[in-house]
Amino acid sequence: MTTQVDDHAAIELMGLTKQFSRSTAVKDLSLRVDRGSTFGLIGPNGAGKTTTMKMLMGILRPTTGAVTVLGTNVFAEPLVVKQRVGYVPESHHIDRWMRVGEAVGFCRSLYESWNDQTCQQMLDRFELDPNKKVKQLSKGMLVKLSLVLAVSHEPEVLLLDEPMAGLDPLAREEFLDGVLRTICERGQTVIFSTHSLDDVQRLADTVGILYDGRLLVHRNIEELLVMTKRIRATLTGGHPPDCLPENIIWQRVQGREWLVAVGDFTVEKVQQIRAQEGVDRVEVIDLGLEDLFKDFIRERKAVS
Amino acid sequence: MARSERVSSQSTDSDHGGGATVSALLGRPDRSLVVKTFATGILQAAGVFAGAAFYSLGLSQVTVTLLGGNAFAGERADRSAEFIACLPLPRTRRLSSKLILAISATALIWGINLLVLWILVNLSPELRSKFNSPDMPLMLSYVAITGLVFYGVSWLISSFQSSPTFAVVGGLLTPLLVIMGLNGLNAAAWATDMDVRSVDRFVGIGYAIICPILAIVGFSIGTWYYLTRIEP
Repeated sequence: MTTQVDDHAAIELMGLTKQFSRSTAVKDLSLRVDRGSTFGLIGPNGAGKTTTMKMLMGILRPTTGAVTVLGTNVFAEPLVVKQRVGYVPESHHIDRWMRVGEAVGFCRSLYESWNDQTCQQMLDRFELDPNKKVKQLSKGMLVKLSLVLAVSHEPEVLLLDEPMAGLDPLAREEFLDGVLRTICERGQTVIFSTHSLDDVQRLADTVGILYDGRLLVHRNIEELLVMTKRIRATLTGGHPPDCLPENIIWQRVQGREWLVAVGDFTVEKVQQIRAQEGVDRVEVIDLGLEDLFKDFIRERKAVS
Repeated sequence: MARSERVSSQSTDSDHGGGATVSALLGRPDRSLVVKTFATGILQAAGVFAGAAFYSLGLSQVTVTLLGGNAFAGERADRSAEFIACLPLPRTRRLSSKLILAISATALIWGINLLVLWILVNLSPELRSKFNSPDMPLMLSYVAITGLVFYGVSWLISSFQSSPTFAVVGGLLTPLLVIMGLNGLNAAAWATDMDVRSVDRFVGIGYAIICPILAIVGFSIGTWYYLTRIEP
């Protein structure tokens, strides 16, 4: 059963929910990632990033909802999807008794589109010795081997699930460099989850913020940064105005200072605030991705 | 063997006139005694080997259980299942490799041991009378049936467990539970009317029927569950 959903969509999640015995990890998640784009999924620990990635890879069945990758239903035709997708998981469980060369040979035998040249280039770039046993590799080297195995069959979609967690800055840099080369050389669709907002800002075209299994925002990263501002106002009475601007992401009153983060920022919104009674001075502050992320999560935490 | 070498060196020494002292110490060798001693040694060794081959058939059940119990749970325990799950490797192929391994190991162990038994039994009339009893095929059948239930049940538990230990122990306990169940049933229903031989026959027949069924059902459900499961 092949579900042709959208020719331009690399990935489509429709109403995805994953319930474990005592908790719901992902709640009604709908998402569309275009072909050739790079999507960064960020969220605090336990937000549901890894669960989402596993469902995308077809190794975890959702309770409800559908997942299509490159127009193919992941659970109806898992082998077809796995031929076209590369996956670097959070923890690497390549058989430890294997040598690097044997792991490469094993994977090579399973992929129709395996490219020996690409594989060799990456092994050389990462200085991975084919005769070394997997159990002898450091964490950084293991992540690199995982990336080699994930990209050597030249997948159309590359899924990276917090692959850089626990890596030293140098290994991280080399890994990112490898990913960037892959993106630039082949125009692959990359979906990656991470805690590092710097990496997202560096790699991603679009960003999604996941919290408590729900997607709070999914937007082009530059657009999001331009359209989301923090406004700092001084309140004469110590109370925020009655008429608040639309699309408030987060706000806080501390003494006479009122901080409010607003989405879909316009000059009119500032003027609206300035015109309110009891507002003395108004200042607009640009937000970095980290501040923006914090504001989204703080508000959600306050609500819950 | 040592004695025969000793005798042989003695005769050579005598031929050359240098073994007089040895001859004086040991006396003239009795060739028939040497042959008899040698033959007895061979027969004793054959008896030991035949016994070992027979017990090895019994112990092969442990190997079979370990293979069944580790089939799926083993790769979940060391988490290599997660690595394999991300690869385009059909589950039917993975399943076939596990089956081929179990069948090959069992065939190898049984093949070698049965061959050893057959050769030794044919060499020695004493062993022939011991191992060619009418009960022997029945005994071997029970060993085989026990192996089947060990494998089938441990395979089933392994298909949904992450602990090979649970799967192996589950497999090993099943025949015991079957025997206990049959004895319990017997005790509850017919204890007053049946003699010891009838009870044995009842348990034996029940075991021979229930265990293969359990093995087949366990293996089938385990296979079906593994093939339809999405998670590693």
